[in-house]
Amino acid sequence: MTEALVGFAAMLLLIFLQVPMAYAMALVGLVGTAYMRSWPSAYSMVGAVIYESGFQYMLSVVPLFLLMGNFITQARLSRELYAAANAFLGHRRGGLAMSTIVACGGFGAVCGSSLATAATMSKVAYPEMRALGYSAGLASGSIAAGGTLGILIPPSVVMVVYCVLTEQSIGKMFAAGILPGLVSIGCYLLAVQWTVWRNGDAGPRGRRFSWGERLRALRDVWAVVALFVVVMGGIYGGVFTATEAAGMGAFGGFVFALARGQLTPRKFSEVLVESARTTGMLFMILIGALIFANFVNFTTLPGDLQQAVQRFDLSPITVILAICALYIVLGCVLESMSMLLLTVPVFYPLVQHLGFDLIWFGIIVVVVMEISFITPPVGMNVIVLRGLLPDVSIRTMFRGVAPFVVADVFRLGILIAFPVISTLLPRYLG
Amino acid sequence: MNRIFDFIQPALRRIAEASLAAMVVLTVADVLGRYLLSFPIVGSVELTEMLMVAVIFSGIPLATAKGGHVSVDIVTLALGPRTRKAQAVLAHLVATASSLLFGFVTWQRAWAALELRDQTTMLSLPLAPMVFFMSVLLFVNALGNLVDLIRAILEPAFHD
Repeated sequence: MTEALVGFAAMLLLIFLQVPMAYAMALVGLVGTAYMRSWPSAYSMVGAVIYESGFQYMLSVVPLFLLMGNFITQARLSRELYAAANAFLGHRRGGLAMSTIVACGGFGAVCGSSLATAATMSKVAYPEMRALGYSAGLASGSIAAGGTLGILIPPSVVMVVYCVLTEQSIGKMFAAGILPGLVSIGCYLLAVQWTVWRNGDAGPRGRRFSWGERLRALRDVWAVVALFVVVMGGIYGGVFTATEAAGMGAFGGFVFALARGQLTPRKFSEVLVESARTTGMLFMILIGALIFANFVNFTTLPGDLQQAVQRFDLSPITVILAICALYIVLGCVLESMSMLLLTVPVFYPLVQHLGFDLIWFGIIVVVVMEISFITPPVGMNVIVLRGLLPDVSIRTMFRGVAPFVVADVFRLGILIAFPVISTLLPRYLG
Repeated sequence: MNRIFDFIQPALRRIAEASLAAMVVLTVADVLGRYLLSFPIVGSVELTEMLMVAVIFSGIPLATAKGGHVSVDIVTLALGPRTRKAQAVLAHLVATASSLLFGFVTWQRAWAALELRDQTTMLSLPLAPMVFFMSVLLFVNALGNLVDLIRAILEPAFHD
């Protein structure tokens, strides 16, 4: 127990010294293992982790889904998605912000990243909302929050990493994300409703569209629908493995970007390099976290946690609530992916021991990660948006995002109370 | 040092582009081959794994070159210019040392793979060259960290 705590403290110290998290975790993991075992075994453990994380077929979905998302972003399908949502919702008070949420959800269905979803939508949705007189807070808040749907609605890079850590099926995990994704869209729409109810000027009404216009707008999103059906339908129907689906999706994204004339050779190269770069960054953190997790498993921490639960006679649900609370606090200061990689190996044996479904726990983990994307001071979505929208202060953004954080906590409660929302669809998957 | 790293970067980009594009082509060809021509590509899983190694380990130094590895700056932003310089030098020193260590450890692993004649199951491709490749790119990554370290040392003090 003590060794693990000292390890955590040393790692946090390095992280706060701005050592990249991957190196901080790896270094503490290495020294810790050397202390618990010996230097030679620590070296060979590090070597094995690096070697094995390179040769993992299952993880090849990560660069492929990143590539698909980057091609889709390049294809500018976000514009059509937003126009379609707007045709149905724009005439309501706060309707453009609601359209942003729905369009983000739609974009999340073909993109597995929260930051990419928020960044793409900001280019389309923000100018429209501001032009109609929306408050900067609601406009930026709805984009930042909507962006988090990218990791809950499949495909999702975060879910892939969770599945690798906990040895769950990627297909089932993706299927599990669909209904909670819809619940999230509902909760976010309520948050918009609440914001305009509090202050009617925050989101004035737009023009009402005729049904003819609506159907036309809907027809323009066929590309997104087609891609989602091929990728998710392919996994769900057992036609493709997750990796194959990701490869097909990446190819589809490439075709759309090319067909829409958005792909110069230079941009093509940039999309590929950018995807490889993000992959490298993710795998570096993955390697660091696995080294650290190996050290933690040598310590008595995992066993001690289970004993503590027994000794204090905690009910399983109390443990889940405590884990969620810890995640929300940690999520305020740590980057989301590192938080996941650092904590899941420690918690999942305990959660499994208590008799919970690990797919369901995966959804809970993704949702708390979504919260960490928009909570100050290190809400990555807000920070990225701040870079894209320099005229909005970070204070305004965090204030605008506050109703969505409340909606998030509410939604977390719903998903904990009704596990069936997460476990229903995976049940029908082979 | 700087110049060597700038010289290597375009090569890294080419590796990343080629391997990632090849991964997509391979997957699509495999799926189409299996369903349309009932002729799957033998060993496509192994080939994908090899390409993955190229994507990941070219991506790592590329991310380093762009300052793309995740770090937390909420504490360091509050430091004075002097302490901040010391912190930056220390952080880059730790990063350089860890990357070097990764490179060495993987190098040893590669020798082991060579001696044991490790190979893939389907195509019997030797694994050692891939592991040497991983190790070399991790050393390139250490070089990238070293460039950052030197820059941090030479920088007079932070002024933003």
